[in-house]
Amino acid sequence: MLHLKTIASREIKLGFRNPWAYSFMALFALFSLALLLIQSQAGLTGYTSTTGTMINLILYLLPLMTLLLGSFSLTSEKEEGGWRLLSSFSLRTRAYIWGKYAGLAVVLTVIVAFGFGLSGIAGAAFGRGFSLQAFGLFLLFSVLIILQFLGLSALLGALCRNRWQALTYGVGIWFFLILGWPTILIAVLGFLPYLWIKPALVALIFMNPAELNRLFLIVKMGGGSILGPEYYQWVKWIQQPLGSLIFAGVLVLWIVIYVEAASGLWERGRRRGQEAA
Amino acid sequence: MQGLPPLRRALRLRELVNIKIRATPHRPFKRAIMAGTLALLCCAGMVAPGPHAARAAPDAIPLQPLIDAASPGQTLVLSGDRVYAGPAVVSEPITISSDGEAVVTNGSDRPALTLAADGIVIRGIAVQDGQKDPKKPAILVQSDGNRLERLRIKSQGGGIFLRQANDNLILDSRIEGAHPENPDEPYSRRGNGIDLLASARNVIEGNTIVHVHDGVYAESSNETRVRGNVATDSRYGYHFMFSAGSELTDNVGEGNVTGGMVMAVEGAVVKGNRFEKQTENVNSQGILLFDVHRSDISGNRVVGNRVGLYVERSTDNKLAGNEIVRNFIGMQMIQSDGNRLQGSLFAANVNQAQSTDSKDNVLEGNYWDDFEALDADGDGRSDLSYEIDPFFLRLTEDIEAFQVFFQSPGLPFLAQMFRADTANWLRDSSPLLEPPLESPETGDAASGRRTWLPGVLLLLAALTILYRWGYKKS
Repeated sequence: MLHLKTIASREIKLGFRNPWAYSFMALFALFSLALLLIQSQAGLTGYTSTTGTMINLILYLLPLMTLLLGSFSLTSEKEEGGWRLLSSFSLRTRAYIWGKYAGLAVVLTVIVAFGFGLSGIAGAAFGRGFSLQAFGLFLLFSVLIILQFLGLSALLGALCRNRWQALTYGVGIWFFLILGWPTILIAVLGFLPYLWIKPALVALIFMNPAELNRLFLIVKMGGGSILGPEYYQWVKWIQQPLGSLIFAGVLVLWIVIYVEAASGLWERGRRRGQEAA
Repeated sequence: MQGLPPLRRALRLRELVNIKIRATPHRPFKRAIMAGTLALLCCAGMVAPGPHAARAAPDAIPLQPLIDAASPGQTLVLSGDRVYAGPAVVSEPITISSDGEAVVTNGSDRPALTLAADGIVIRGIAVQDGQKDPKKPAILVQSDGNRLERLRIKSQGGGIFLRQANDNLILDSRIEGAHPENPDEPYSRRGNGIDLLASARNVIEGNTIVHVHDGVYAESSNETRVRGNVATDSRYGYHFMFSAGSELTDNVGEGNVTGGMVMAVEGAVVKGNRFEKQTENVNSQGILLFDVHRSDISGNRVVGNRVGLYVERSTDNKLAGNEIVRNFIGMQMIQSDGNRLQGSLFAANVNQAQSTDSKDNVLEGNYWDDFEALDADGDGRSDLSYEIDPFFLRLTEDIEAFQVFFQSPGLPFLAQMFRADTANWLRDSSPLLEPPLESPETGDAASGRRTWLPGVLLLLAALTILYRWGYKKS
């Protein structure tokens, strides 16, 4: 636990020395401010065009940011020899990976908190802010997106050899999960028998944290009925407090699976490295 | 009373009608039978305690004899602090009113009140009907030219049913279904508030209808006038079927499955209504037009519904000056031709409009708040037209499960790739640069200022962490 904490605080320090962190922070703050100023409706609760646009902004920007910062942090340790040095200590791989995960989670949350803090103040100053409920839900939604994609980025970092590779794969994954997702699913699911489409679609949604979080947020904002009669039971189920609990469970499971897989891979690499040496 | 000589009968009537009526049943044994029946009913109510069973107090006064005693044109004044027992049939044109609010209860399976003569007036009484069959009303009107005013009806079954009854007035009444505290009560177990069948030219005005099946349901009832009513927490607020020349003006609907539903109607007028918060159900709409022709739908406000305005298989309608705000989907138009949509405001809808298989519709001079207009000649109208993409509607037509992609960030990307021929799209040829209506609901500015403190706290926390663990040397 002490190791984990040490690695995490080292990660935070490294994270804030990384110029990428600041460029993403500026980007996120700038975009959320711009959106706030463009919209004419203030303080509306529920699922409206404004909240819909904000959801999209978060979905475009945060997963990419998280995937890149997360995987770069791991691959740079390989490239710059940080891990070689650390692995000569009696440091367990799991503590190392989870420590990095925790540290990065703090860095990214600070970036998002900075952006939201700024737009919260500016929104209030111009009288164009979100309602308190929407503001809180967006913050939660952003943090959940970060935590999940950070799990994915840990695995990506463990798999890639260097930052270039991580960048290529990261952008690829982002494109697949965010931009190409409906296209690919509609194309593939069209081949399935009609009755299989919905179960397959639901199963696949659980594979994509962006979609899972988006739908959860829409339902929590009261927009569940837009998903149509096919998802009636789902929506009812998510609306209950138990729904949130199960959703949280799925989230934790997702993160644990990805980070553990990353640490397993990393550990294998460590052993092989020792054998080679 | 029939057995009494004419003079005494008249005297007795005076006593009954003009002076306050007190329970004065003239035959002790009849009274005993009545009391026994009521007691039995009460027991039945206890065995199967429907929360809305008629609360027929043992001392409830039977209403029928009082009605029978009144002769045409007379006024029967019921005492405001007494309970009267239905069912009763009114077969003479009399007026029944109350000096306070008399309560009429009913434990039978017949309507509490049946209006069988023309020109009856019923005013200011409360009806508590214990029937559980949604098909059975508390008040049944089978005659013409009656006036029902300031009634308060509570019923698990139906409220007021009109059957081949023309030219009646239903005014300023309140109809409430049983268990309004339970929003999940199935609609199949609720009756309609006001239900018209084959009844023409009736006026329904200023009523409040809560927690029923359909607030007002008019079937094959031409020229029904529905004005200034409020319907909430029901299936459909106002529902017209096969009723030509119907009028729905200045009504309010909130939290229903659908606010105003007009089906298979010619020449309807739907004006100045306000339908809000119809989002809970997967089939919710503000206004639904199906198979509607040559009708006038203008000046309505549909705010915060799942679909604001839904138009299917409807032709040659005029839709003008409607305010369509903050719905998930502003307007859906399917297989509808030759309609005219103008001067309407579309703002803050998650998706402004969707349309397929509709041609020859004219859209002009509407305001779309997501549109970047370009006005070179300065006439206040954009030279670029606003195009409505049919992609999502087509996608979900065949496979409804794809509805889950609604506003998915990747969808515009896909829609863009299929954007080949826009010739058949629904389009606004001259969108307005400024909203045509006064206030496009700007929201609550005060609530927009509440993020001040959380914003400051978040920023401070972020900067503190940045400084303490990121910048400062440990």
